[in-house]
Amino acid sequence: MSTSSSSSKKIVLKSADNETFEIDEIVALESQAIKNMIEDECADNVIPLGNIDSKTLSKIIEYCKKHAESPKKDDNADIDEKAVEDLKSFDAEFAKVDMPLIQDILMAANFLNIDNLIGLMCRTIADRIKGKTPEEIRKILNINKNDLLSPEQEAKAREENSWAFD
Amino acid sequence: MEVEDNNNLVVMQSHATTYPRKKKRNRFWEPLFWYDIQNLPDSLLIEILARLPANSIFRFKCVSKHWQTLISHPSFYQHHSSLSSLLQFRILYRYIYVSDFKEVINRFQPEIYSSSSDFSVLYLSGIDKERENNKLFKVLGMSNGLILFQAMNTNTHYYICDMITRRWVRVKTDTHMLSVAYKCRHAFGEGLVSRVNQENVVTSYRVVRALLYENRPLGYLYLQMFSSETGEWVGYRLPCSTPIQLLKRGVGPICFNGILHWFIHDHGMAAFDPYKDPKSCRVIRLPDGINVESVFKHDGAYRLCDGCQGTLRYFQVEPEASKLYCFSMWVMKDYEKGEWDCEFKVRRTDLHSSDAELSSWLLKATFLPLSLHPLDLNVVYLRCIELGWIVTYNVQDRRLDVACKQIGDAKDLSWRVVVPFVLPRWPTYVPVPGEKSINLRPFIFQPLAGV
Repeated sequence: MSTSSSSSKKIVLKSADNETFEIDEIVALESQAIKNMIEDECADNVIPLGNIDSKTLSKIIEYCKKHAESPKKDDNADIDEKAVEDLKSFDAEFAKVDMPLIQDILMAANFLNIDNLIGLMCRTIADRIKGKTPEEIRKILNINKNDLLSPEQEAKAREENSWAFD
Repeated sequence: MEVEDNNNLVVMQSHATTYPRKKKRNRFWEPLFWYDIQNLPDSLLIEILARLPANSIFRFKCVSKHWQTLISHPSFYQHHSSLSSLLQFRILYRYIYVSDFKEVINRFQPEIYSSSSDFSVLYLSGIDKERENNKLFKVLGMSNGLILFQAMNTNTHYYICDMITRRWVRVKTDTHMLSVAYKCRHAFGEGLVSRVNQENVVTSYRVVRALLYENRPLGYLYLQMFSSETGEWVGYRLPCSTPIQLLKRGVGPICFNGILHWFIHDHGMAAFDPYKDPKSCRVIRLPDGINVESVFKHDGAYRLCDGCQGTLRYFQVEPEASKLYCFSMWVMKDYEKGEWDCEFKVRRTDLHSSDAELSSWLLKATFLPLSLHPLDLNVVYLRCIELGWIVTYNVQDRRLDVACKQIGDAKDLSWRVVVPFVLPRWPTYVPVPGEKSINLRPFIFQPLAGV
């Protein structure tokens, strides 16, 4: 770890499709998983992420960069409101991608343990599915046909929760 | 299976995919799995579901057996309610001008308040626009998610409803009770108290109203109470330790720990516990040192008394800028003994604000208290009369912030015409009066057998 020649230490992430991304360590530390690895000194300078493709990884790095640059809430109670607003609108823009990519980002964020990003992706998915019917959900999320309720069970669940279908 | 240590996210351990971190740490970079994008681990699925509004959650119980099991598990409800940053607080204007009660329910569409997370005063109808041709409904009180309304034009009907399921019952006043009530000046000061079981499901409620007899102190508190268990109204004449006279002005009773408190003349409160037998009335003194003159002169407009996070609090504003202290707060330290402690007294010169315009008014503005923040002991909502804004006062650092610059239609906003309203996020069962066997199943969270 102490062999870094530049003032800000760099970390290299390697995607599943063998693309490499050189980022500042501070950006990589947004990921709790990478942070743990660095702290435990079991990371080489190149970290291969065999389950994250380059498209997903570049999105995640974009997110981590922005969040690493922004002042943290616990650093300073008197946090600049403009910075908070700025981050909010960044998050909103960031989430404007299609569902497969959102799911990829979510899975990767979960793997890399990036709390805020997991929350953002879950919120985004929730916002997109909240108005749907059960039938639409089954289709959108490709729910296993073997796991459906029996007609009797479904009728009962619909009756008990009829208010939710109003 | 390993439980991650940095783990406020995983509420239920997934059966499918976990990410061994510690055990195989030195193999971190190897491809441990290849995920199918349709196959989210349960921990993430729960995170998504917990961020949905209640009606979607209950509708999605039909999606699959697996979803039903996840949603029906008690830990799901806990997780859903633990996302407390999503709890939103509004000040709800009590009066709703609409043609019938169904329309009141329609006005509670989630869109009206969830569209923006910014604070605002919540109006369910126009005040001038809709006033002319419509009936008037008034929000009287709330308890465990249930809301008590009154149809003002008839004075005989109360409605109790849950805004999430939009289910409601109507409570009638029978003719005998009415004739009793008509002999007095009028019935008023209605309050709602409800009981929940261990699963936090409402099992019963009681509607209580006080009767105003004469313009002089009486040795009794006269009440009428409706109980959902019996479906009937009962009248009570409860002896008081000292003669009391209820304040005509002032809205419903203050509900604290399931006990209703009505302001009385001579600076006290009459307390009644609807679920306690035998029925009794207790007179509680207000704190020594409150500005009695101001209460008399302004009809109590500059004081606020409410329960907040398990304590009963009394907040007082000095309307006149010349007075030494502008805000004071007392807290009931010992409810059984009725002992109050003064929490703070603040001078105007100690106030500050980061808003330049508000700052310039701090020494001269008149503040009218609107509500304590039900979720935050440190925050009081006030209306700045001169600026026409709603501001928050932070008890900790004596700071005033702008909550919103629009008061809306009601120019004379005071605590009498608003109700503190934490936006409900989970359905509440509305017990049907007189109905003994109630089907609580959808509201109780048990893993479903055989699923």
